[in-house]
Amino acid sequence: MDAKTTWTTEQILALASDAASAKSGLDLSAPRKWVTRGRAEAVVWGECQGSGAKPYRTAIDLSEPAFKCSCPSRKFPCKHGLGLFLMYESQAQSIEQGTPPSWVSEWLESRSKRVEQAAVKKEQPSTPRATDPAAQAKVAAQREARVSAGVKDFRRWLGDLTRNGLSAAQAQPSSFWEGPASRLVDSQAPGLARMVRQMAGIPASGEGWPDRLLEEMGRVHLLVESFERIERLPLNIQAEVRTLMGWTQSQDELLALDGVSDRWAVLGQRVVEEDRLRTQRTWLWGTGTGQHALVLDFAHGSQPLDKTLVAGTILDAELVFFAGAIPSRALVKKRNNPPSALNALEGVSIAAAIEAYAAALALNPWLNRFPVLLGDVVPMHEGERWWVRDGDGHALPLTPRFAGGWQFLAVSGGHPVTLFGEWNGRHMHPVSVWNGRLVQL
Amino acid sequence: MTQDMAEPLSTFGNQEWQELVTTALLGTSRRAVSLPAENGALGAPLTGLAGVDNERKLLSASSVLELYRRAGALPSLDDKPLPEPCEADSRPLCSGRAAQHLGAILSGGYEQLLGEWLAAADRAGKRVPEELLPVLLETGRTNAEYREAIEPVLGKRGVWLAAQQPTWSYVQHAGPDIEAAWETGNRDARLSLLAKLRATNPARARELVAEGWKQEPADIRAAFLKSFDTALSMDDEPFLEAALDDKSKQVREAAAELLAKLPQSRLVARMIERSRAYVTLREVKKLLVSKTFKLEVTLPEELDQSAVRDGISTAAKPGRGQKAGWLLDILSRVPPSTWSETWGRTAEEIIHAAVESEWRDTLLHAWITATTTFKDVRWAEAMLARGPINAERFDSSDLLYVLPPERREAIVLQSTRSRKNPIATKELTPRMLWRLRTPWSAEVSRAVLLAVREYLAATSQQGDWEMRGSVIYLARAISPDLLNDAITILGGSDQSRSFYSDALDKFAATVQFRRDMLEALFQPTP
Repeated sequence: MDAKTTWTTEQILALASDAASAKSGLDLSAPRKWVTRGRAEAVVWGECQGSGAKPYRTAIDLSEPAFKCSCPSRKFPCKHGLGLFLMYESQAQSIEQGTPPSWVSEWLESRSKRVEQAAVKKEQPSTPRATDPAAQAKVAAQREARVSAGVKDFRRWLGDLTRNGLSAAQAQPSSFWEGPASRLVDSQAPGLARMVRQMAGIPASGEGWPDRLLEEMGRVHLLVESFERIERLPLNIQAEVRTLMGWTQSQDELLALDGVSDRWAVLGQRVVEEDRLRTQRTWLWGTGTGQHALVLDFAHGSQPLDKTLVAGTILDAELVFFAGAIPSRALVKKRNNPPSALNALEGVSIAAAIEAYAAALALNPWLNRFPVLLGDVVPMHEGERWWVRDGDGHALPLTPRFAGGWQFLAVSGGHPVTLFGEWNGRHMHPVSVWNGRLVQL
Repeated sequence: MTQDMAEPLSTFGNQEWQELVTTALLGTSRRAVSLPAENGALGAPLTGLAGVDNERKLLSASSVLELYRRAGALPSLDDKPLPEPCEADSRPLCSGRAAQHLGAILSGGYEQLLGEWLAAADRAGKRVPEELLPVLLETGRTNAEYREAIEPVLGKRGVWLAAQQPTWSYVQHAGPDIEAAWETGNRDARLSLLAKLRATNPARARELVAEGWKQEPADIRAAFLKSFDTALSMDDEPFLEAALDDKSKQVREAAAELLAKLPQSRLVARMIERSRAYVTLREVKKLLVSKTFKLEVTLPEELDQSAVRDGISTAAKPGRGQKAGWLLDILSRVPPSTWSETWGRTAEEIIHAAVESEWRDTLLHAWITATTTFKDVRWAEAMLARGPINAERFDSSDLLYVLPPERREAIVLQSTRSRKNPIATKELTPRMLWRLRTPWSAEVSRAVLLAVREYLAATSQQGDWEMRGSVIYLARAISPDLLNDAITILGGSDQSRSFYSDALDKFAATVQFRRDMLEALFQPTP
């Protein structure tokens, strides 16, 4: 059977780490660039003549996709990988079916070994390392104590802010906010510190700022109060509070847990850059379970982001979820089958989405980005202010920060479409639109 | 709090929330915290706050009330009329690969290939994918030269979209009614409407300009007049002639410039009249030589007012005497055929006399301009036949524009064959090449590539910066039929260490992109 899954050119080019790679990839997607070309089930390979004497050897394991290339490029995937993939997508007939040569089969074997080893490692987790448990417990207790002390100090600061008034705070320099934030970092509560830093921008954010600042202060207050009586809270809320404060959960331990297997629709990606750290948020939607999942990936500076989750595809995989008030953030534990194309996408009415948001809010009072999949909505606009409307006449506004309104309108043609995006209780930030095919906005 | 019209509404606790915000703004040291009434759903979580300090009371009440309001918000109802949706498109979308090429072009790689992509997509009967429409329409807004090529590949969807954004109203059949928009539009909008109307209904455009003529400030009057360049005809002549008496110099100059392009205009008739008095052709008998002619120039001491009214500049031109400047201005506005008729001599004979004349530079310069302005094929051929006329001083390549595209190619082809290394001898100049219609025929493409290769090989060590910059243009201009061989033809000899190696790499990359781009547009969809 031909394992050709339906990747589109857009999806492949979305794998490129930058525009230059995408362009070179297109340049290399012509069969004449390749001295040899071959494919077998779930793998494609080829040799591309570069500037050196020996051609570069490139192979793709289509089940992920995973790339291998003998070229010296640090970009991942490199232009040869992209070119080979594009050629496979657009001109598969020019690539002959065959038996993988040894350099391909060896790579595939070493890959499956690695996966097995990882699985074995996960099944016998935390073989006590060199550090003895007593020492570890001591380190953990020290952190608890430091965070508690930091929280106490922060509550004094928050109390002063409330006593002196927000008007007085508006006149303060940025050091007013940075002081407590960096003290919280020193006390090992980086999550809480981040929330304080985000508050710093609100007084200068224009009309309605006192409302927004008080809302944030309420959220932060709720968090520190919860932290102080954490042992009396349910376990999943405890985990949520600790994550928000800045504790991380061990990915190795998570991967050892049983996950949720489903065919996950990859609904879209957003990359946000902050202080040279890029965060990629990939939203998945379980076609069987109806559960959503958020896969995060981080990259510093020019490091590549993980490109294996491609919007508009279906990932048949087992995911494990981080503990929290509502399971949301997830890791891909195991891929069961190569990705396939997403063929249909249906959403819910605005009223149903808002109701689901309210229900989620009841479980997680700190919820800030809630994924909504709206069905049959029409884009509306007045100048550059955009909103969507559904068949019941309900409306939801799009955030003014969203720059793709015209693109969204173009894709819809004024007809009802399925829209996926993040809802924060006030505005929606569209991520992708479905109109027979998924288009990222 | 400002409320976005479409924002979900929470009617609960508005007043109580505002109460908390007011206290927060002033500070709990200045204003008491008044808690929401302890009844209903809100009551229970708030009862525990009775004994706590004011700060904690305010913060706790805020977090509870904010959640209560957020969770209770309901979507607002929107009763704006729904927009008319777009009809189905009969033109198929281009392939995903072709869309990627367009995306690359629009995001700044190979942007000079946009024209070719658009034309090829139209020939292939394809349209642009919806998600690229906004950026393409925006490109057309800022680059008017692409508009004509953009329209056929927009599909119904693109026209529908353009109709909703006033800045995209350059798209035909899109946008509001021109005359209604004329009444209310700002300066830029009216200029863009005028440009559009001139192309379809020049008489109506002129009427609209004439209606408000007296009220408009000088710079707008001048800008309006400049639009007359599109579809300029003798119908515009009376209006323009009247504008020669405008009180603004800017407007007078614009009018004179347009009238000078109309061979039947009164202004051109006056120019002919003037010039006949200044330039004469006399037969000279020389021993042993067949008949030759001598051009004689007699210029007045002063320019009269009517000449100034007709746009002859009294200011001296750089590098030229004042009177030579007058002669240049006047002769440039006289159709060259006038001279053949007046003197009963061929263009060749007259040009020969000009070359021999002491006024040679001014005469030739003026006649090149006049030949181009009045599109005189006969004179253009005669001038080009003389080969490079003092190439340092004149650019005669504009004359090529007067000739039909096939004839231009024939002249370039002839130049490539005329001598060894025609680029070194300036028989063939890059400027001539840029005057050809692109893409070039396969024959011209091959001949030019061979000529360039010869020149590159001869100058590979010392280098020619202009040629190095020009190589990339070849990649965009050559015939699609030659894309497979172009790299071999141009880079066939070993150029890897040459001064031109970077330029040749870029040439190769562009040629490949073009080849893939055309392939992707014309390959049958699987």
